[in-house]
Amino acid sequence: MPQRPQEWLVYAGLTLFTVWPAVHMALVERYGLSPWKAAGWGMYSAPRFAELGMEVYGRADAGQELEKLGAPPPEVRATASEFLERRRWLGRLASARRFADAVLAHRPDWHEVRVIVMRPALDPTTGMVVWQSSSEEYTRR
Amino acid sequence: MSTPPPLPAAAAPDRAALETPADPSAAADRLRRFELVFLLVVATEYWARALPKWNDLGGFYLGALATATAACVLAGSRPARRPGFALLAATQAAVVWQEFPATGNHAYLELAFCLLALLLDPFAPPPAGAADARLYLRAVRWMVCVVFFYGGVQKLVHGYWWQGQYLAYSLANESFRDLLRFLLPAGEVARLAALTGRVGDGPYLLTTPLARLVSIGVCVAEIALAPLLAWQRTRPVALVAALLFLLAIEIPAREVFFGLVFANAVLLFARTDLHRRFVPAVALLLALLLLVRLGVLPEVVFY
Repeated sequence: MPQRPQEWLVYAGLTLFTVWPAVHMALVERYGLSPWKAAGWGMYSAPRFAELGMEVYGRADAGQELEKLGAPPPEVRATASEFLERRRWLGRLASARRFADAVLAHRPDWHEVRVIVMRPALDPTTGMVVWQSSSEEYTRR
Repeated sequence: MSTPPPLPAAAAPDRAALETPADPSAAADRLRRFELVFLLVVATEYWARALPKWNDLGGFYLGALATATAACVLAGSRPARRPGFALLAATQAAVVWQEFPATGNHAYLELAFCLLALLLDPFAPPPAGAADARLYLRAVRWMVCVVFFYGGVQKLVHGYWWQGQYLAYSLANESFRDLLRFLLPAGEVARLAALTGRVGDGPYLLTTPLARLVSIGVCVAEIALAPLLAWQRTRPVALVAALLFLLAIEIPAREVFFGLVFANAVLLFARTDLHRRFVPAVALLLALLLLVRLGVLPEVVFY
């Protein structure tokens, strides 16, 4: 049994060190977190792809057709790059909220935004590289 | 009701599995060399990252470089060891935070080692020093087992090693290709090497039974290393296997710093003090790497 405070801290740290990778694996499975990062020790467990793509649509209200965002200004592009970089490693744990707000600020006529993120992935069954996409919707706050 | 007979001694659990050497001062000496290697690697890593982009270094990284260098010097000296590790842990935590979520796993491991060294003082007078040395050794060994175990489990769970998909994909990397060439027919190597990793490419599957067996065997071996290192009887063989495994992965991946930090920890499983020989070898290797970064020696890719 630990007796001194520092011993307790070491045991608490070791418990965290031991339990976290199991939580990490669950996050990889559920949210698409990269197994390569965040101290889950899953380096080399899955291929990494550099490519990452995004399409953004918006509309004034739910009854209208979605319109594709074209040629966004630099500040929106910068927010998009920042979001995509976080998405690359954190998967769906990285929210597009800030990026969606930047888009809505750029397009005051839109009330809602749909963000579709696409990234390549290796299908473990077929061994083929395929696109994986996820879609999120945000409304003006 | 009869009670079962006691287990024979040979079958009893090995309680000494994670014990320290009997002599506390010997344990402290090993840990001193462990810390020395650790500090040399971390300090060199900061400089090796900074030198190629010296003219474009941001204020944050310059500050981290200066603080980490000072912290490593302090932590290496007996009187300022703990303040040194406190400063290094703070710097390392700031770098982890700054680079998050792209932070490399070795940075977390380095932070964990810094915190351990900060909390425990194996060089204090007995009995506290001896108790700390024992706990320190056990903690580092436990962390090594955790990394090996989950490294193997993650490979199996994500499904890219059952049919050699990951190995097939990594053939695009020339240094991995050299390692895997002997497992596959020449035509298969050529086919996989020609793939570019773009959407629609594939199939990234290994076709020979031997290659698939090796792929699964890597994961199983990695998982098995954890209990085999913990159990004292199998430890010498497991130690050699662990070091060979590390070399097989880290040489093609060229992850010198993670490799050294982890090998430094793995060596604490040895019965004899292998760190005595490891320190000069690491110091020489790190000096060569710095000379590469300074442009004195020819360019070599390493991370």
